[in-house]
Amino acid sequence: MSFINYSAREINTKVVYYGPGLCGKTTNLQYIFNATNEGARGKMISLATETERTLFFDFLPLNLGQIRGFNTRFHLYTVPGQVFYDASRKLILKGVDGIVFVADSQRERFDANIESIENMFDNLREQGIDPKSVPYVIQYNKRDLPNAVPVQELRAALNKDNVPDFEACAQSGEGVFETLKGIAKLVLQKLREGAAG
Amino acid sequence: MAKVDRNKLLAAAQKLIQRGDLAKAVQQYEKLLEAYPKDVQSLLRLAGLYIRVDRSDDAISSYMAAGHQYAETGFYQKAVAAYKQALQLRENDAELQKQLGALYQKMGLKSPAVEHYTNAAQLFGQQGQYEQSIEIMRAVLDLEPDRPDLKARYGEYLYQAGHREDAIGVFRGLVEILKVEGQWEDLARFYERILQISPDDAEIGLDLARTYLRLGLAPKALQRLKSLFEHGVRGAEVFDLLARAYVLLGKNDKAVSAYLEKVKRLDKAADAEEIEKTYRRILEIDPTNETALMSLGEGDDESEILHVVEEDASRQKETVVEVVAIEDEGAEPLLLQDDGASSAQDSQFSEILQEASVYIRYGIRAKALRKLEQILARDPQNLAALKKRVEVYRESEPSRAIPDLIRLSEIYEGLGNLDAAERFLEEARRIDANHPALREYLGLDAADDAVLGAQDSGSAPVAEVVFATEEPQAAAEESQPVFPDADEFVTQTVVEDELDIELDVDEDFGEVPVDVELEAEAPAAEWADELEQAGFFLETGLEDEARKILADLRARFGDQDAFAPLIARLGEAATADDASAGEAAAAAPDDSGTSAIFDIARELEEELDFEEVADVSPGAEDVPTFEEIFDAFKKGVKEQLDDDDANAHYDLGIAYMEMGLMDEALAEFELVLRNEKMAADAYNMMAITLTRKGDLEAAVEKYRAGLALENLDEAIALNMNYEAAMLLEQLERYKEALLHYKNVVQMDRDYRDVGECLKRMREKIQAIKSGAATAA
Repeated sequence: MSFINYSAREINTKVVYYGPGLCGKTTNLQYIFNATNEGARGKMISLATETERTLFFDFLPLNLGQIRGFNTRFHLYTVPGQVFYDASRKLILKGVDGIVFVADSQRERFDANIESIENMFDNLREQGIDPKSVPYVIQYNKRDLPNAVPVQELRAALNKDNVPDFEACAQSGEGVFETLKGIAKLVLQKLREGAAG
Repeated sequence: MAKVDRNKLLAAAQKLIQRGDLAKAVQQYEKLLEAYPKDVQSLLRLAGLYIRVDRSDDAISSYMAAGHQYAETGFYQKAVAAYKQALQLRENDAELQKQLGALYQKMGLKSPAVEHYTNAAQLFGQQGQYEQSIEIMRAVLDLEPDRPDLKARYGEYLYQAGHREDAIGVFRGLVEILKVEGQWEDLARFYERILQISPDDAEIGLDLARTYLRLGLAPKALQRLKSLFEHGVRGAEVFDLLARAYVLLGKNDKAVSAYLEKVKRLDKAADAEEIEKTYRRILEIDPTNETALMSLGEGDDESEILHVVEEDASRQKETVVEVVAIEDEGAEPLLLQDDGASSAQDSQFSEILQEASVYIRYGIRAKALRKLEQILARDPQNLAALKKRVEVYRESEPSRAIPDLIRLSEIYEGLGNLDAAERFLEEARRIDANHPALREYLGLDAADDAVLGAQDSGSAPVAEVVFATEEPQAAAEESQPVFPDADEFVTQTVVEDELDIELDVDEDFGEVPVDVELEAEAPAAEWADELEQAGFFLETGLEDEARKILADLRARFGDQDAFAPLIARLGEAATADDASAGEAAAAAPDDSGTSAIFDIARELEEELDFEEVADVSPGAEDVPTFEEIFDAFKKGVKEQLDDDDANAHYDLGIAYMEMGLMDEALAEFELVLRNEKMAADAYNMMAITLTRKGDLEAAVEKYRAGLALENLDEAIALNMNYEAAMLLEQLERYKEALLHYKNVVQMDRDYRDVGECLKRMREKIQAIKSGAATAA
């Protein structure tokens, strides 16, 4: 959960981009990194395996500015998408404040999306986190591809909780910031509720 | 959404390439990149195509765009690879060199950054764009502020650009560094340079003359002094330097005259001490000089005049210069030393010499040598140090004494003491008449040897030198060749290099077996570029990139013999089984296949959207363990992040901490500590991490370390005191906790719930006291 550093007067929140392999999680972060002012972002750490898959995690710290005298920082993470990197995903989910589930719109990846979102819920539950208590949004990525499944179909399969969802083409940047704003809003709302509670 | 269908364009381009219609393929990629200008894979492919259609300028632009894109997204290594591809096409591109320098700088790799920046500066300079060179050299000097060679380049570019005064300023700064470092030869060179720009600078002229004297180059010093004379500079100092030059040349009469001229130019009242010192110098040269004797009132006491030299009485009437020649241990004459600061230096040298003597006495030669080198670094002509070093080497490695013996001989020859000079040379000859330094000094070459019937018959000087050093006896016995091993070595190296080149060519283009050739003829040219690119990636350490290309090639063309060398270099499995599996996979792309290589190929297809996508899972044995992944990640991070990038390590530390990787988090925060400005943040985060780890004692210590920092921000101090107190309370160290709570109250009595805490602590301490009293 969000970690408040009183000395530095910072609130650090953790947002994880989750989704099946090659769905565009790293591309989201890369686009955000490129499109953000240097002063508002830290160094992006992104390492890839020989097959250009994310190695362990990508990490991008963002500075959202002051909220009630506290500097609010969003740490964006991606998880490795392949099924067999579950141990890494569990670790990265620790202390998560918000999740962006990135779905691959291609028909061929339909089942992989379902498998991945179920895996996400399982991993949250395994850590004693009620999936409904964690703010999350869904991004339907790769909307520009000809074999993209209609959004309604994806929504029916993936968005059973009726969370905010966004269409995107991460490669061109479409929908990337909308998604980020969507999750940021939910995380900050939760933070405010927590502070009020 | 973008109107252009990327997949269709890629597929069309691929077909055109296969048909050999490269010009149209280029058009497809260009169209695609209009819609997706940041698609690096397409940029790279387009660059490859441009090369094949002889549009190298466009290829360079594409590579640069890809490099720029990689750099923007933080993939610096890939950016470097792309820029280097471009650089292969145009090595002398100043802008490319500059971009590479900037990239390496971002990666925190100083050495290659400096190399590429300086290349860029030079290339811009060659084009007359000196302002660009200047700007680049400023960046270089930010990286390497103390390197004289870089400062010198910077100075030169400033001068070339017409910034004369700035250039002089840089050279002046440079000579100060060289002075401190005792690099006298370079110092002389840069004094000369300043004088070329500013010939009337008397101060520099004097410094240069002084430096030449220090180097024992009396004729050059005289030349410089003459020039000063011509410019009307004729003060006491000029005559002093002149006198010292004459001493070095053995022209003692002239030296005395110069010293006397110097005295005339000094003020009797203000410079009394200097005048006395000068007369004493005169007496060191000419102990019977009446003017000096009279002035010092010491006319009848010769032994006192020569008090600086502990010398045998029988030789007291010879000149001091000659005394020096036979003096082994005594204080060195002042003739070769600088004036002014020289007495302080003398005394310092004397102490070092004494220490060296003690080390020699106890057989600790290495330390003795280090001491002597301290002196010789500052005064390469120091006779006592040189002789002591000869003494050390004489005992252990006589041949190493030879350069010093030669130097001693030179100095004494310069002093006019030819007997002493010859004695040193004689000793050098006795040690090793064939020593290269000695041969060089004596001007002996192969021709001399032939005429003199010398034992070795060297032809190549380098070989001869090495041979003579390593195996003097063998040199005498060997006839031909003089240095066979070296020849063989050189030959081998060359041959290997050639083989390497040939091999590369074969790998890329060549020798496709006849039975495959017919089929593979068209694609061979097609894959040549990509194979070359893979080879390049491999050479530049980007194995991942090379693998990717190989996988792509194998997916597109199946297993070709031409790929074998690359597969071997990549350490890919290339067994017959694998190969057949590969062929099968190539023939039937839908087959899931088991070959790791074809898994990679398929993944690549997915990424590039060429074909239908499919999830690929490796076999259980291929799945790396978490530890392996994490190790690889840490290794990658180490390569990507400079240790001094405190902000990045701070963020990464938080990331690790959040994941529960506490030791890794602590290691990151340790790195943050290197940055003084972030030390408080680092201690704070270390304390938080240790608290989460359950090590409260250590956490308290980190808070205390933070609180001990100077100029600690009050808000941080408040929080650290409060947090430390909370931990101490948990540890039941109430009195200490109370102290920290009190500190908080002193700064801000309303801070969080500190009032409550204070009250609670007092109650707990009171309860303990009462309990103890009851128990008692």
